[in-house]
Amino acid sequence: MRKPEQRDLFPGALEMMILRTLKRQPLHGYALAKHIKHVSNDLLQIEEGSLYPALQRLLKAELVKAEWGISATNRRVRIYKLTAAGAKHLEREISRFEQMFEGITRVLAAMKS
Amino acid sequence: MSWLAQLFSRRRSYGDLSAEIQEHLDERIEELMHEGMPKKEAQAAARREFGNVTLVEEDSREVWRWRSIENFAIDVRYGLRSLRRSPGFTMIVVLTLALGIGANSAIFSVIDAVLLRPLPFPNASQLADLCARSTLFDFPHLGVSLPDIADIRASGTSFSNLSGYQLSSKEMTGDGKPERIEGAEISEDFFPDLGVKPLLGRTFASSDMQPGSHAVILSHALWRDRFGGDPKAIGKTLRLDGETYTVVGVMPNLSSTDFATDSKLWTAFIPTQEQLTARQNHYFNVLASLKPHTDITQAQKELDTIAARLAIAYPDADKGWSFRVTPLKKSLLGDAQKPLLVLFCSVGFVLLIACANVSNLFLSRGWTRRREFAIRTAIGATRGALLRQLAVESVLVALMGGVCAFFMALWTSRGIRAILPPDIPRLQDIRIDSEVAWFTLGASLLAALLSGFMPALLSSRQDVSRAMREGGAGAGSGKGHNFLRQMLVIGEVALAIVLLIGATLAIQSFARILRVDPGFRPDHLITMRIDFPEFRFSKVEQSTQLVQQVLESSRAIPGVEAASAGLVFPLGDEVAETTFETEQSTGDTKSGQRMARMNRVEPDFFRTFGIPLLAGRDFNADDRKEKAPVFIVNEAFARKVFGSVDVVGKRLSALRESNRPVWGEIVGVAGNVRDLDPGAEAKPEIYGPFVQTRQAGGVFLVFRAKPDPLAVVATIEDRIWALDKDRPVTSIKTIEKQMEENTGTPRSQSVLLGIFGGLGFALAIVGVYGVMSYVVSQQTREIGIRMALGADRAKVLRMVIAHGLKLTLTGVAIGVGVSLALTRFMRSQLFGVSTTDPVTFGGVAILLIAVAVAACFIPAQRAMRVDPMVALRYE
Repeated sequence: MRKPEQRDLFPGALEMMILRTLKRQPLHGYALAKHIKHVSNDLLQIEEGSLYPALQRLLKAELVKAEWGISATNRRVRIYKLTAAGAKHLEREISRFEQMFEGITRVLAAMKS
Repeated sequence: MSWLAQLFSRRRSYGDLSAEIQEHLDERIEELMHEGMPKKEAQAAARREFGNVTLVEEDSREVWRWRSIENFAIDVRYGLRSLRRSPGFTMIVVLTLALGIGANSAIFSVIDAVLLRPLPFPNASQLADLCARSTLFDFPHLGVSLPDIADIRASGTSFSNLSGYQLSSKEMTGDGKPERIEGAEISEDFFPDLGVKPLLGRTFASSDMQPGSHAVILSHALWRDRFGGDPKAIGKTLRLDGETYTVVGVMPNLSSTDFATDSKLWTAFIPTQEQLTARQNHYFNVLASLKPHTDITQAQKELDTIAARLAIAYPDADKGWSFRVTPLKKSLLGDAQKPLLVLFCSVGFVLLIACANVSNLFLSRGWTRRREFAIRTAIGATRGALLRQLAVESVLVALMGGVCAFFMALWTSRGIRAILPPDIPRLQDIRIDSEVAWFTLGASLLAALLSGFMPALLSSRQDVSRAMREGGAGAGSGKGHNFLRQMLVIGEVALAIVLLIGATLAIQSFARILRVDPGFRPDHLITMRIDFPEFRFSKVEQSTQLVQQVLESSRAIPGVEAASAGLVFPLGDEVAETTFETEQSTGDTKSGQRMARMNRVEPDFFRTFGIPLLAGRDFNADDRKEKAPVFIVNEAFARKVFGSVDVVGKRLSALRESNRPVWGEIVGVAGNVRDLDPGAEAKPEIYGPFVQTRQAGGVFLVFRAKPDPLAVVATIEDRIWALDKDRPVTSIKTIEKQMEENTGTPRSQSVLLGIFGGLGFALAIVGVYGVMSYVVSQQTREIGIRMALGADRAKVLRMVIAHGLKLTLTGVAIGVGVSLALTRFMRSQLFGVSTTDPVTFGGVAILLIAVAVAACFIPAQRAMRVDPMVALRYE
């Protein structure tokens, strides 16, 4: 079966964005997808479906938890919330990502000059 | 959440997931419809944006699963279903693999019992055989003298102990028939060194090693036969060699290893004063215990130093002598190793050929299933998943083959044991046990890998759109497929050539052995042995007299046509040799003393065996002990020593007294008697009258009797016992039986190699046939076009056969090359036939080519009958 990571931007990127979005407020899957698409200005080509395996991984790692609830549009939805462990994980991931990003930027800048 | 809780809540979370995804889609559809899109379009758009729902669900579920195990279970289920759907394919593959693996399991069971299993002695890994070699005698295993043993013990640092033993049979008398029992005289620590504990009683103590003490340890078999397994046998007595021995111990049942532990009983080795001091008595066997962590090469180096020192200190006794230490296991089983490894190699080749065939079948099946794979790929299966699926199927059929193979080994085990020569040690230990089961499992997995790997790799390489478009039959198979297929045919033809050449060499060797003219008529002859132990026959006259009386009374038995006796007999297990001189050679210091075979025979020996007398006369009653020696020599001796057969009247000496030759006269020349080795020359041999022998430990009586030589045995025994009621009669055997035993190893080798060679040959031909059929079916269109363009049928036939021939010839060339490199490992097992015998090589190559062409002929004919119209429309 195809590994979802292969369609990711880079391993863990999708998870990081989900966690960041959920940190702001708990959301259900559809809203989450919509939000990420919207915020990224549709720059990132994310298949909505790929969200779900990522959510399952986060659930399994207990970085998020899910509860059935009623959405603003009065639908029965499963709402995901960030756990404490999830918040901590997000912080760590972001700082790691920033480091990596900085590294890449420097290399790219050096190439240009 | 613990993994256990996860496992139980899994089903619910799968439900959650499906519901959730459905909600997601519904929400999106609703939104799109809200924007004014029609329902149908909205549904399609939502799905498009979402992606592959099934795959997403599968991927999401997979997060919760033990992926490998569960996918594996699915693969197994799917594999079984797919194999069930093509029962013909499954049956042929399983059967082919079962033959290949089964042959391996059966031979492995022999190798395991004979070579691999540890010796039945707990200390075996520390034990070694210590023997002597001499530049004077061409014999690899000579004994060591007691003073030399004492010196090694005193100065050697590699050995923790040396214990001695020598085989010595004993005459057991008392109730019933007198019997000669195979026994061994052992030193006190023989059994402790082996680490074998007695079942009852004890092994020898120092009190048993004193002159005059008569202690005996019984083997399990003798204890059972003679004492009925009586647990109170300790302290009971046995009459051995006319003395009363007390049973001190009973050993457990030890499997036979061609060692002193095979004896029926053990007595204490009590050396005489002469044995303790005579350094030239090189005849004691030594069991050496190595100190822990001692390297055997180190021990050998040390022995070399000691031997060099002894040769200088005692040149009379030890010059030219050296010691040789060999791990006990190697020393006992070394001879059995080579023929068994040759067999193992040949069954290995059979398995490889079987795997090549199966590989071919997998290739074809993979090709016909490419639609299925294409569909699976299209709905999201990766190449890895397809590979895993194919691997699982390979393993499944291989395991089924393995199970069949195990039962085949079980059923053929008895037959194989009957084919193997009985002198292979530990043959009775052959069992189809867990070791064989593990081996079978290993062989099955290896077969799965060998047969399934390449086809799986090729079949899983999918070009979806092409496969879907091309559809079913007709399309030519991929390049990789064809290349692999041809490699497989070439490979299996090459292996079959190697197998067939090996088998043919063995069979030819055996056939030549059977064709050897032994120089006498072996039919209707029976031999038996009586011994003359010193405690009964203090003078040699007593024994010669007994023999003459026995012969005389036996000649009167109805059916007995001729009777005689000799110290040894042609083709027997024993050989006697002597040094000799002629008047020429005595003066010639260079040639000095020479060796020839020597036999002492009663009159009528030559007539009884049917050995022709070429000149002179037979021995007769007038050749008495007190007269000057007379000799009959064989033709080989006459030619080699005197250069002609005209030697009657020439003088010869086979004995020195006070350092002077005792001269005698040659009175006759006999025909050569040959060993059953077609490559060997007849050996020079001297015969003397039995009455003129100076000592006789025993004699072989020989009778020519009709119609059935075995029928007279009981009467002859009675005649012997009428003269001496305590005389055991042993080694009762017809010469034909003896010849069968002598040829046991080449016989079994040729039968087994013949079976495996035939099996490999058949499989390879099936392979050639299968591939050519396949090629033809793949080329139907091409053939059709060619025919439409005017190629005639004969040309098509030639084309197909030429293709098959090309592959076969390449395989044959490789096979012949490999055989040239490999058959030399059979050298020691081949008699009278060279390991590179050109007739064998050429014959086998031609046979295989001819049969392969015949196998191509069937598909070629089918190709010839191709109707261009049908072939082209078929597309």
